[in-house]
Amino acid sequence: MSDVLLKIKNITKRYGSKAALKGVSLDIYKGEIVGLLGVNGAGKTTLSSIIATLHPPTDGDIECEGRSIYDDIATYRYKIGFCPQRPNLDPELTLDENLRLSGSYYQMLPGEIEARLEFLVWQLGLGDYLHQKANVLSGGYKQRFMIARALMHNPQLVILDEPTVGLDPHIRRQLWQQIKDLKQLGVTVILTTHYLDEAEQLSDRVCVLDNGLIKLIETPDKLKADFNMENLEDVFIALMDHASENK
Amino acid sequence: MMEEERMNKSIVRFRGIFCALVKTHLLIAREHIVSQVINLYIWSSCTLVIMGYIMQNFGLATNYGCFQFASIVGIVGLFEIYNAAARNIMDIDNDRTISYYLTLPARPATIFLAMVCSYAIVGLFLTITILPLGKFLFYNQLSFAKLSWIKLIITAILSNVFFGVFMIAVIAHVGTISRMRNIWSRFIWPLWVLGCYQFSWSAVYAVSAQLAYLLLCNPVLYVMEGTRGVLLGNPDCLPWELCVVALCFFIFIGWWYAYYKMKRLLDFV
Repeated sequence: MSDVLLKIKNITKRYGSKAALKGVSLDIYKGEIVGLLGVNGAGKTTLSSIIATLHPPTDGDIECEGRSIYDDIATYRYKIGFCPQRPNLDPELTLDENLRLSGSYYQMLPGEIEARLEFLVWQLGLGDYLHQKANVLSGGYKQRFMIARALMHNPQLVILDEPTVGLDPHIRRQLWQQIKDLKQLGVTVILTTHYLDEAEQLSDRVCVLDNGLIKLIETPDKLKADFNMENLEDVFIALMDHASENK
Repeated sequence: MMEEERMNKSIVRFRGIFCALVKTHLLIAREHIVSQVINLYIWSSCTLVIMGYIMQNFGLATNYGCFQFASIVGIVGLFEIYNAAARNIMDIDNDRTISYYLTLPARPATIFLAMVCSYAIVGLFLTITILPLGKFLFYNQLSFAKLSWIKLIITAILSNVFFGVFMIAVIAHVGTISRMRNIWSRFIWPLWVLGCYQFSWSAVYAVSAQLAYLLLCNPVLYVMEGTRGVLLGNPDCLPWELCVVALCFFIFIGWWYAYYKMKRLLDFV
Protein backbone atom coordinates (compact mmCIF):
# COMPACT_ATOMS: atom_id res chain seq x y z
CA MET A 1 0.00 0.00 0.00
CA SER A 2 1.07 3.58 -0.65
CA ASP A 3 0.97 6.63 1.66
CA VAL A 4 -1.50 7.15 4.44
CA LEU A 5 -4.05 9.82 3.52
CA LEU A 6 -6.13 9.71 6.68
CA LYS A 7 -5.24 8.53 10.15
CA ILE A 8 -8.29 8.00 12.33
CA LYS A 9 -7.12 7.95 15.93
CA ASN A 10 -9.20 6.54 18.75
CA ILE A 11 -12.48 8.19 17.72
CA THR A 12 -15.28 8.07 20.26
CA LYS A 13 -18.77 9.41 19.76
CA ARG A 14 -21.37 9.57 22.49
CA TYR A 15 -25.01 10.58 22.27
CA GLY A 16 -25.91 11.16 25.90
CA SER A 17 -25.07 7.93 27.73
CA LYS A 18 -24.99 5.84 24.54
CA ALA A 19 -21.63 5.35 22.82
CA ALA A 20 -22.01 5.03 19.03
CA LEU A 21 -18.22 4.70 18.53
CA LYS A 22 -15.90 3.39 21.22
CA GLY A 23 -12.36 4.26 20.21
CA VAL A 24 -12.09 3.58 16.48
CA SER A 25 -8.62 3.73 14.91
CA LEU A 26 -8.02 3.19 11.22
CA ASP A 27 -5.60 4.25 8.48
CA ILE A 28 -6.91 5.10 5.00
CA TYR A 29 -4.36 4.89 2.19
CA LYS A 30 -4.27 7.08 -0.88
CA GLY A 31 -6.16 5.68 -3.86
CA GLU A 32 -7.86 2.77 -2.13
CA ILE A 33 -11.53 1.90 -1.64
CA VAL A 34 -12.31 1.03 1.97
CA GLY A 35 -15.64 -0.63 2.69
CA LEU A 36 -17.17 0.10 6.10
CA LEU A 37 -19.36 -2.86 6.99
CA GLY A 38 -21.60 -3.62 9.91
CA VAL A 39 -25.15 -4.36 10.96
CA ASN A 40 -27.61 -1.51 11.55
CA GLY A 41 -26.43 0.61 14.48
CA ALA A 42 -22.84 -0.63 14.27
CA GLY A 43 -21.58 2.96 13.86
CA LYS A 44 -20.87 3.09 10.10
CA THR A 45 -22.84 6.27 9.40
CA THR A 46 -21.56 7.93 12.57
CA LEU A 47 -17.97 7.22 11.55
CA SER A 48 -18.47 8.40 7.98
CA SER A 49 -20.19 11.60 9.12
CA ILE A 50 -17.31 12.33 11.50
CA ILE A 51 -14.78 11.78 8.70
CA ALA A 52 -16.91 14.10 6.55
CA THR A 53 -16.78 16.68 9.40
CA LEU A 54 -20.54 16.82 9.62
CA HIS A 55 -20.37 15.98 13.32
CA PRO A 56 -17.49 16.34 15.78
CA PRO A 57 -16.14 13.33 17.67
CA THR A 58 -16.56 13.29 21.43
CA ASP A 59 -12.95 12.22 21.69
CA GLY A 60 -10.05 11.28 19.41
CA ASP A 61 -8.56 12.89 16.34
CA ILE A 62 -8.29 12.53 12.58
CA GLU A 63 -5.07 13.41 10.79
CA CYS A 64 -4.92 14.15 7.08
CA GLU A 65 -1.43 13.95 5.62
CA GLY A 66 0.05 14.27 9.10
CA ARG A 67 -2.02 17.22 10.40
CA SER A 68 -5.10 17.20 12.60
CA ILE A 69 -8.06 18.09 10.40
CA TYR A 70 -9.48 20.18 13.25
CA ASP A 71 -6.49 22.57 13.10
CA ASP A 72 -7.60 23.80 9.67
CA ILE A 73 -10.93 22.23 8.87
CA ALA A 74 -11.60 24.38 5.80
CA THR A 75 -8.46 23.13 4.04
CA TYR A 76 -9.43 19.53 4.84
CA ARG A 77 -12.93 20.10 3.50
CA TYR A 78 -11.48 21.13 0.13
CA LYS A 79 -9.98 17.63 -0.05
CA ILE A 80 -13.17 15.68 0.63
CA GLY A 81 -16.53 15.07 -1.00
CA PHE A 82 -19.42 13.59 0.94
CA CYS A 83 -22.53 11.74 -0.25
CA PRO A 84 -24.86 11.20 2.70
CA GLN A 85 -27.28 8.28 2.88
CA ARG A 86 -30.28 10.41 1.86
CA PRO A 87 -29.87 12.50 -1.29
CA ASN A 88 -29.94 16.14 -0.21
CA LEU A 89 -29.72 18.11 -3.44
CA ASP A 90 -31.50 21.46 -3.31
CA PRO A 91 -34.96 20.44 -4.57
CA GLU A 92 -35.92 23.93 -5.72
CA LEU A 93 -32.92 24.33 -7.99
CA THR A 94 -32.18 22.57 -11.26
CA LEU A 95 -29.45 19.96 -11.19
CA ASP A 96 -27.32 22.19 -13.37
CA GLU A 97 -27.67 24.97 -10.77
CA ASN A 98 -26.95 22.51 -7.96
CA LEU A 99 -23.67 21.46 -9.58
CA ARG A 100 -22.58 24.94 -10.65
CA LEU A 101 -23.25 26.39 -7.20
CA SER A 102 -21.34 23.52 -5.68
CA GLY A 103 -18.34 24.61 -7.74
CA SER A 104 -18.77 28.20 -6.53
CA TYR A 105 -18.76 27.10 -2.89
CA TYR A 106 -15.26 25.73 -3.52
CA GLN A 107 -14.08 28.97 -5.20
CA MET A 108 -13.78 27.37 -8.65
CA LEU A 109 -13.52 29.81 -11.53
CA PRO A 110 -16.37 29.86 -14.12
CA GLY A 111 -14.16 28.16 -16.73
CA GLU A 112 -13.16 25.43 -14.26
CA ILE A 113 -16.80 24.87 -13.30
CA GLU A 114 -17.79 24.57 -16.95
CA ALA A 115 -15.03 22.07 -17.74
CA ARG A 116 -15.63 19.98 -14.63
CA LEU A 117 -19.39 19.95 -15.20
CA GLU A 118 -18.89 18.79 -18.77
CA PHE A 119 -16.55 16.01 -17.63
CA LEU A 120 -18.87 14.78 -14.84
CA VAL A 121 -21.95 14.89 -17.04
CA TRP A 122 -20.11 12.69 -19.53
CA GLN A 123 -18.53 10.43 -16.90
CA LEU A 124 -21.75 9.79 -14.99
CA GLY A 125 -24.21 10.01 -17.89
CA LEU A 126 -26.24 12.90 -16.51
CA GLY A 127 -26.97 14.88 -19.68
CA ASP A 128 -30.69 14.07 -19.98
CA TYR A 129 -31.62 15.42 -16.58
CA LEU A 130 -29.30 18.38 -16.16
CA HIS A 131 -32.02 21.01 -16.49
CA GLN A 132 -34.61 19.20 -14.40
CA LYS A 133 -35.19 19.68 -10.70
CA ALA A 134 -34.01 17.05 -8.23
CA ASN A 135 -37.48 15.94 -7.18
CA VAL A 136 -38.31 14.51 -10.62
CA LEU A 137 -35.34 12.12 -10.57
CA SER A 138 -35.38 8.40 -9.83
CA GLY A 139 -33.30 7.14 -6.91
CA GLY A 140 -30.45 6.01 -9.18
CA TYR A 141 -30.12 9.36 -10.91
CA LYS A 142 -30.34 11.21 -7.59
CA GLN A 143 -27.37 9.18 -6.37
CA ARG A 144 -25.42 9.88 -9.55
CA PHE A 145 -26.02 13.60 -9.15
CA MET A 146 -25.01 13.33 -5.50
CA ILE A 147 -21.75 11.70 -6.57
CA ALA A 148 -21.27 14.37 -9.24
CA ARG A 149 -21.79 17.13 -6.65
CA ALA A 150 -19.33 15.46 -4.28
CA LEU A 151 -16.77 15.24 -7.11
CA MET A 152 -17.34 18.75 -8.48
CA HIS A 153 -14.34 20.31 -6.71
CA ASN A 154 -12.08 17.36 -7.58
CA PRO A 155 -11.58 15.99 -4.05
CA GLN A 156 -8.90 13.48 -3.03
CA LEU A 157 -11.30 11.55 -0.81
CA VAL A 158 -14.97 10.71 -1.35
CA ILE A 159 -17.17 9.38 1.43
CA LEU A 160 -20.16 7.44 0.12
CA ASP A 161 -22.69 6.51 2.78
CA GLU A 162 -24.89 3.63 1.57
CA PRO A 163 -24.98 4.92 -2.02
CA THR A 164 -27.01 2.02 -3.43
CA VAL A 165 -29.70 1.55 -0.79
CA GLY A 166 -33.11 0.94 -2.35
CA LEU A 167 -31.84 0.89 -5.94
CA ASP A 168 -32.69 -1.68 -8.61
CA PRO A 169 -29.98 -4.34 -9.17
CA HIS A 170 -29.00 -3.06 -12.62
CA ILE A 171 -28.74 0.53 -11.36
CA ARG A 172 -26.61 -0.72 -8.47
CA ARG A 173 -24.28 -2.39 -10.98
CA GLN A 174 -23.99 0.84 -12.95
CA LEU A 175 -23.12 2.75 -9.81
CA TRP A 176 -20.55 0.12 -8.88
CA GLN A 177 -18.83 0.74 -12.19
CA GLN A 178 -18.84 4.47 -11.50
CA ILE A 179 -17.33 3.93 -8.06
CA LYS A 180 -14.64 1.73 -9.64
CA ASP A 181 -13.99 4.52 -12.13
CA LEU A 182 -13.30 6.89 -9.22
CA LYS A 183 -10.45 4.64 -8.17
CA GLN A 184 -9.08 4.80 -11.72
CA LEU A 185 -9.14 8.59 -11.39
CA GLY A 186 -6.99 8.30 -8.27
CA VAL A 187 -9.75 9.19 -5.81
CA THR A 188 -9.73 7.50 -2.39
CA VAL A 189 -13.17 6.18 -1.48
CA ILE A 190 -14.71 5.35 1.88
CA LEU A 191 -17.79 3.28 1.13
CA THR A 192 -20.33 2.59 3.84
CA THR A 193 -22.59 -0.31 2.96
CA HIS A 194 -24.44 -3.25 4.36
CA TYR A 195 -24.51 -5.01 0.99
CA LEU A 196 -21.73 -7.55 1.28
CA ASP A 197 -21.59 -8.32 -2.44
CA GLU A 198 -21.04 -4.61 -3.01
CA ALA A 199 -18.21 -4.47 -0.50
CA GLU A 200 -16.64 -7.58 -2.01
CA GLN A 201 -16.84 -6.22 -5.54
CA LEU A 202 -15.56 -2.74 -4.79
CA SER A 203 -13.37 -2.67 -1.71
CA ASP A 204 -9.62 -3.06 -1.55
CA ARG A 205 -10.05 -3.51 2.19
CA VAL A 206 -13.11 -3.98 4.34
CA CYS A 207 -13.46 -2.70 7.87
CA VAL A 208 -16.08 -4.51 9.91
CA LEU A 209 -17.68 -2.45 12.67
CA ASP A 210 -19.68 -4.01 15.46
CA ASN A 211 -21.28 -2.12 18.31
CA GLY A 212 -19.01 0.91 17.83
CA LEU A 213 -15.77 -1.06 17.63
CA ILE A 214 -13.65 -2.25 14.70
CA LYS A 215 -13.84 -6.02 14.54
CA LEU A 216 -11.28 -6.41 11.78
CA ILE A 217 -9.72 -4.70 8.78
CA GLU A 218 -8.60 -6.91 5.91
CA THR A 219 -8.77 -7.43 2.16
CA PRO A 220 -11.83 -9.41 1.00
CA ASP A 221 -9.62 -12.15 -0.51
CA LYS A 222 -7.59 -12.59 2.67
CA LEU A 223 -10.78 -12.78 4.74
CA LYS A 224 -12.27 -15.44 2.51
CA ALA A 225 -9.05 -17.43 2.66
CA ASP A 226 -8.71 -17.10 6.45
CA PHE A 227 -12.28 -18.16 7.07
CA ASN A 228 -12.15 -20.72 4.27
CA MET A 229 -15.38 -19.41 2.76
CA GLU A 230 -16.47 -18.61 -0.75
CA ASN A 231 -17.89 -15.16 -0.29
CA LEU A 232 -17.78 -12.19 2.04
CA GLU A 233 -21.38 -12.66 3.13
CA ASP A 234 -20.55 -16.05 4.70
CA VAL A 235 -17.48 -14.52 6.38
CA PHE A 236 -19.57 -11.65 7.75
CA ILE A 237 -22.25 -14.00 9.11
CA ALA A 238 -19.60 -16.16 10.74
CA LEU A 239 -18.04 -13.08 12.30
CA MET A 240 -21.36 -11.78 13.63
CA ASP A 241 -22.27 -15.24 15.01
CA HIS A 242 -18.93 -15.34 16.75
CA ALA A 243 -19.51 -11.84 18.17
CA SER A 244 -22.96 -12.72 19.53
CA GLU A 245 -21.60 -15.95 21.10
CA ASN A 246 -18.96 -13.89 22.90
CA LYS A 247 -21.62 -11.53 24.24
CA MET B 1 3.59 36.92 7.53
CA MET B 2 2.25 33.35 7.51
CA GLU B 3 -0.53 34.37 9.86
CA GLU B 4 -1.44 37.35 7.67
CA GLU B 5 -1.49 35.14 4.58
CA ARG B 6 -3.74 32.64 6.33
CA MET B 7 -6.04 35.45 7.45
CA ASN B 8 -6.30 36.85 3.91
CA LYS B 9 -6.99 33.37 2.57
CA SER B 10 -9.80 32.80 5.04
CA ILE B 11 -11.35 36.21 4.28
CA VAL B 12 -11.33 35.42 0.54
CA ARG B 13 -12.85 32.00 1.26
CA PHE B 14 -15.50 33.50 3.55
CA ARG B 15 -16.47 36.09 0.96
CA GLY B 16 -16.64 33.53 -1.86
CA ILE B 17 -18.71 30.96 0.02
CA PHE B 18 -20.91 33.60 1.63
CA CYS B 19 -21.76 35.19 -1.73
CA ALA B 20 -22.40 31.78 -3.34
CA LEU B 21 -24.70 30.78 -0.48
CA VAL B 22 -26.63 34.05 -0.64
CA LYS B 23 -26.98 33.51 -4.38
CA THR B 24 -28.33 29.99 -3.74
CA HIS B 25 -30.92 31.24 -1.26
CA LEU B 26 -31.97 34.06 -3.58
CA LEU B 27 -32.35 31.62 -6.49
CA ILE B 28 -34.64 29.54 -4.29
CA ALA B 29 -36.51 32.67 -3.14
CA ARG B 30 -36.99 33.67 -6.80
CA GLU B 31 -39.39 30.73 -7.15
CA HIS B 32 -41.75 32.15 -4.53
CA ILE B 33 -41.31 35.89 -4.76
CA VAL B 34 -44.25 36.66 -7.09
CA SER B 35 -46.65 34.70 -4.94
CA GLN B 36 -45.24 36.39 -1.82
CA VAL B 37 -45.88 39.84 -3.31
CA ILE B 38 -49.43 38.86 -4.34
CA ASN B 39 -50.15 37.50 -0.83
CA LEU B 40 -48.69 40.63 0.75
CA TYR B 41 -50.84 42.91 -1.41
CA ILE B 42 -53.99 40.89 -0.65
CA TRP B 43 -53.72 40.84 3.13
CA SER B 44 -52.33 44.34 3.50
CA SER B 45 -54.85 46.00 1.19
CA CYS B 46 -57.73 44.23 2.99
CA THR B 47 -56.38 45.41 6.35
CA LEU B 48 -55.72 48.94 5.17
CA VAL B 49 -59.13 49.44 3.53
CA ILE B 50 -60.88 48.29 6.70
CA MET B 51 -58.62 50.27 9.08
CA GLY B 52 -58.40 53.34 6.88
CA TYR B 53 -61.96 53.71 5.60
CA ILE B 54 -64.45 51.45 7.42
CA MET B 55 -63.42 51.45 11.07
CA GLN B 56 -63.76 55.26 11.17
CA ASN B 57 -67.51 54.67 11.42
CA PHE B 58 -66.79 52.93 14.73
CA GLY B 59 -64.85 55.89 16.09
CA LEU B 60 -61.32 55.10 14.92
CA ALA B 61 -59.14 58.15 14.15
CA THR B 62 -59.19 59.31 10.52
CA ASN B 63 -55.42 58.88 10.13
CA TYR B 64 -55.42 55.35 11.57
CA GLY B 65 -55.08 53.88 8.08
CA CYS B 66 -51.70 55.60 7.69
CA PHE B 67 -50.68 54.45 11.16
CA GLN B 68 -51.58 50.87 10.22
CA PHE B 69 -49.77 51.16 6.89
CA ALA B 70 -46.54 52.21 8.62
CA SER B 71 -46.93 49.23 10.97
CA ILE B 72 -47.36 46.89 7.99
CA VAL B 73 -44.21 48.27 6.34
CA GLY B 74 -42.30 47.29 9.46
CA ILE B 75 -43.94 43.93 10.11
CA VAL B 76 -43.74 42.37 6.61
CA GLY B 77 -40.57 40.45 7.47
CA LEU B 78 -42.10 38.92 10.60
CA PHE B 79 -44.98 37.35 8.69
CA GLU B 80 -42.60 35.57 6.32
CA ILE B 81 -40.91 33.79 9.22
CA TYR B 82 -43.49 31.02 9.45
CA ASN B 83 -43.00 29.88 5.84
CA ALA B 84 -39.24 30.19 5.91
CA ALA B 85 -38.90 28.45 9.27
CA ALA B 86 -41.33 25.71 8.25
CA ARG B 87 -39.37 25.03 5.04
CA ASN B 88 -36.11 24.76 6.96
CA ILE B 89 -37.58 22.60 9.71
CA MET B 90 -39.00 20.21 7.11
CA ASP B 91 -35.53 20.06 5.56
CA ILE B 92 -33.93 19.25 8.90
CA ASP B 93 -36.52 16.54 9.56
CA ASN B 94 -36.19 15.05 6.06
CA ASP B 95 -33.34 15.30 3.55
CA ARG B 96 -31.15 17.76 5.42
CA THR B 97 -29.85 19.94 2.62
CA ILE B 98 -28.33 21.94 5.45
CA SER B 99 -25.97 19.01 6.16
CA TYR B 100 -24.36 19.63 2.80
CA TYR B 101 -23.81 23.29 3.61
CA LEU B 102 -22.31 22.34 6.95
CA THR B 103 -19.59 20.29 5.24
CA LEU B 104 -18.51 23.19 3.00
CA PRO B 105 -15.10 24.77 3.66
CA ALA B 106 -16.53 27.52 5.86
CA ARG B 107 -17.42 28.09 9.47
CA PRO B 108 -21.02 27.14 10.32
CA ALA B 109 -21.63 30.79 11.23
CA THR B 110 -21.09 31.65 7.54
CA ILE B 111 -23.90 29.27 6.56
CA PHE B 112 -26.34 30.84 9.02
CA LEU B 113 -25.19 34.36 8.23
CA ALA B 114 -25.95 33.73 4.55
CA MET B 115 -29.42 32.51 5.52
CA VAL B 116 -30.00 35.68 7.57
CA CYS B 117 -28.67 37.92 4.83
CA SER B 118 -30.77 36.40 2.06
CA TYR B 119 -33.84 36.50 4.30
CA ALA B 120 -33.16 40.18 4.97
CA ILE B 121 -32.75 40.93 1.24
CA VAL B 122 -36.11 39.31 0.45
CA GLY B 123 -37.71 41.11 3.42
CA LEU B 124 -36.26 44.42 2.27
CA PHE B 125 -37.59 43.82 -1.22
CA LEU B 126 -41.09 43.13 0.14
CA THR B 127 -40.89 46.23 2.36
CA ILE B 128 -40.10 48.41 -0.64
CA THR B 129 -42.78 46.71 -2.73
CA ILE B 130 -45.50 47.64 -0.26
CA LEU B 131 -44.73 51.39 -0.26
CA PRO B 132 -46.72 52.26 -3.44
CA LEU B 133 -49.81 50.58 -1.99
CA GLY B 134 -49.80 52.97 0.97
CA LYS B 135 -49.43 55.98 -1.30
CA PHE B 136 -52.23 54.69 -3.51
CA LEU B 137 -54.67 54.11 -0.65
CA PHE B 138 -53.84 57.20 1.41
CA TYR B 139 -52.71 59.62 -1.26
CA ASN B 140 -53.57 62.83 0.61
CA GLN B 141 -52.74 61.64 4.12
CA LEU B 142 -49.36 60.10 3.41
CA SER B 143 -46.51 62.27 2.20
CA PHE B 144 -43.08 60.96 1.26
CA ALA B 145 -41.79 64.49 0.59
CA LYS B 146 -40.15 64.99 3.98
CA LEU B 147 -39.29 61.34 4.45
CA SER B 148 -35.70 60.49 5.39
CA TRP B 149 -35.06 57.62 2.99
CA ILE B 150 -31.71 56.88 4.62
CA LYS B 151 -33.35 56.41 8.00
CA LEU B 152 -36.11 54.28 6.47
CA ILE B 153 -33.59 52.04 4.70
CA ILE B 154 -31.49 51.65 7.86
CA THR B 155 -34.60 50.77 9.88
CA ALA B 156 -35.80 48.33 7.22
CA ILE B 157 -32.37 46.65 6.96
CA LEU B 158 -32.02 46.28 10.73
CA SER B 159 -35.62 45.07 11.09
CA ASN B 160 -35.22 42.43 8.40
CA VAL B 161 -31.83 41.32 9.69
CA PHE B 162 -33.46 40.92 13.10
CA PHE B 163 -36.30 38.89 11.56
CA GLY B 164 -33.71 36.72 9.76
CA VAL B 165 -31.89 36.04 13.02
CA PHE B 166 -35.22 35.41 14.70
CA MET B 167 -36.08 32.89 11.97
CA ILE B 168 -32.86 30.93 12.67
CA ALA B 169 -33.65 31.03 16.40
CA VAL B 170 -37.19 29.74 15.74
CA ILE B 171 -35.87 26.90 13.52
CA ALA B 172 -33.34 25.89 16.16
CA HIS B 173 -35.83 26.18 19.01
CA VAL B 174 -38.66 24.28 17.31
CA GLY B 175 -36.43 21.71 15.59
CA THR B 176 -39.00 19.17 14.34
CA ILE B 177 -42.15 19.12 12.22
CA SER B 178 -44.25 17.84 15.11
CA ARG B 179 -43.62 21.08 17.01
CA MET B 180 -44.15 23.39 14.04
CA ARG B 181 -47.61 24.44 15.22
CA ASN B 182 -45.86 26.27 18.07
CA ILE B 183 -44.19 28.75 15.72
CA TRP B 184 -47.24 30.91 15.19
CA SER B 185 -48.84 30.81 18.62
CA ARG B 186 -45.72 30.89 20.78
CA PHE B 187 -43.39 33.12 18.78
CA ILE B 188 -44.95 35.22 16.04
CA TRP B 189 -48.32 36.06 17.63
CA PRO B 190 -47.04 37.40 21.02
CA LEU B 191 -44.28 39.41 19.37
CA TRP B 192 -46.73 40.83 16.87
CA VAL B 193 -49.70 41.81 19.07
CA LEU B 194 -47.54 42.97 21.97
CA GLY B 195 -45.12 44.70 19.60
CA CYS B 196 -47.25 47.85 19.29
CA TYR B 197 -48.49 46.92 15.83
CA GLN B 198 -51.98 48.31 16.42
CA PHE B 199 -51.14 51.03 18.93
CA SER B 200 -48.22 53.22 19.85
CA TRP B 201 -45.97 52.78 22.85
CA SER B 202 -47.03 56.18 24.17
CA ALA B 203 -50.67 55.01 24.09
CA VAL B 204 -49.73 52.03 26.27
CA TYR B 205 -47.76 54.33 28.56
CA ALA B 206 -50.84 56.52 29.02
CA VAL B 207 -52.80 53.46 30.17
CA SER B 208 -50.11 51.74 32.25
CA ALA B 209 -46.50 52.81 32.66
CA GLN B 210 -45.56 49.38 34.06
CA LEU B 211 -46.95 47.57 31.03
CA ALA B 212 -45.24 50.05 28.72
CA TYR B 213 -41.87 49.38 30.36
CA LEU B 214 -42.49 45.64 30.15
CA LEU B 215 -43.17 45.96 26.43
CA LEU B 216 -39.71 47.46 25.96
CA CYS B 217 -38.45 43.86 26.16
CA ASN B 218 -40.23 43.10 22.87
CA PRO B 219 -37.87 43.68 19.90
CA VAL B 220 -40.78 44.13 17.47
CA LEU B 221 -41.73 47.27 19.42
CA TYR B 222 -38.54 48.96 18.14
CA VAL B 223 -39.29 47.85 14.57
CA MET B 224 -42.77 49.36 14.80
CA GLU B 225 -41.81 52.57 16.56
CA GLY B 226 -38.71 53.10 14.43
CA THR B 227 -40.59 52.56 11.14
CA ARG B 228 -43.59 54.67 12.14
CA GLY B 229 -41.35 57.44 13.47
CA VAL B 230 -39.55 57.67 10.12
CA LEU B 231 -42.55 57.15 7.82
CA LEU B 232 -45.08 59.31 9.63
CA GLY B 233 -42.70 61.71 11.37
CA ASN B 234 -44.64 61.06 14.56
CA PRO B 235 -43.12 62.89 17.58
CA ASP B 236 -44.91 60.48 19.98
CA CYS B 237 -42.78 57.56 18.80
CA LEU B 238 -39.71 56.33 20.67
CA PRO B 239 -36.52 58.10 19.46
CA TRP B 240 -35.25 56.59 16.21
CA GLU B 241 -31.69 56.31 17.57
CA LEU B 242 -32.96 54.28 20.53
CA CYS B 243 -34.80 51.93 18.16
CA VAL B 244 -31.62 51.42 16.09
CA VAL B 245 -29.49 50.66 19.16
CA ALA B 246 -32.15 48.35 20.61
CA LEU B 247 -32.47 46.45 17.31
CA CYS B 248 -28.67 46.01 17.12
CA PHE B 249 -28.76 44.67 20.68
CA PHE B 250 -31.56 42.20 19.88
CA ILE B 251 -29.77 41.08 16.69
CA PHE B 252 -26.67 40.33 18.76
CA ILE B 253 -28.58 38.48 21.50
CA GLY B 254 -30.75 36.65 18.95
CA TRP B 255 -27.70 35.56 16.93
CA TRP B 256 -25.93 34.22 19.99
CA TYR B 257 -29.02 32.27 21.06
CA ALA B 258 -29.77 31.00 17.54
CA TYR B 259 -26.20 29.78 17.03
CA TYR B 260 -26.10 28.04 20.42
CA LYS B 261 -29.43 26.28 19.80
CA MET B 262 -28.43 25.31 16.23
CA LYS B 263 -25.21 23.79 17.52
CA ARG B 264 -27.24 21.66 19.92
CA LEU B 265 -29.77 20.70 17.26
CA LEU B 266 -27.40 19.85 14.41
CA ASP B 267 -24.26 18.91 16.36
CA PHE B 268 -21.92 20.50 13.80
CA VAL B 269 -18.15 20.91 14.04
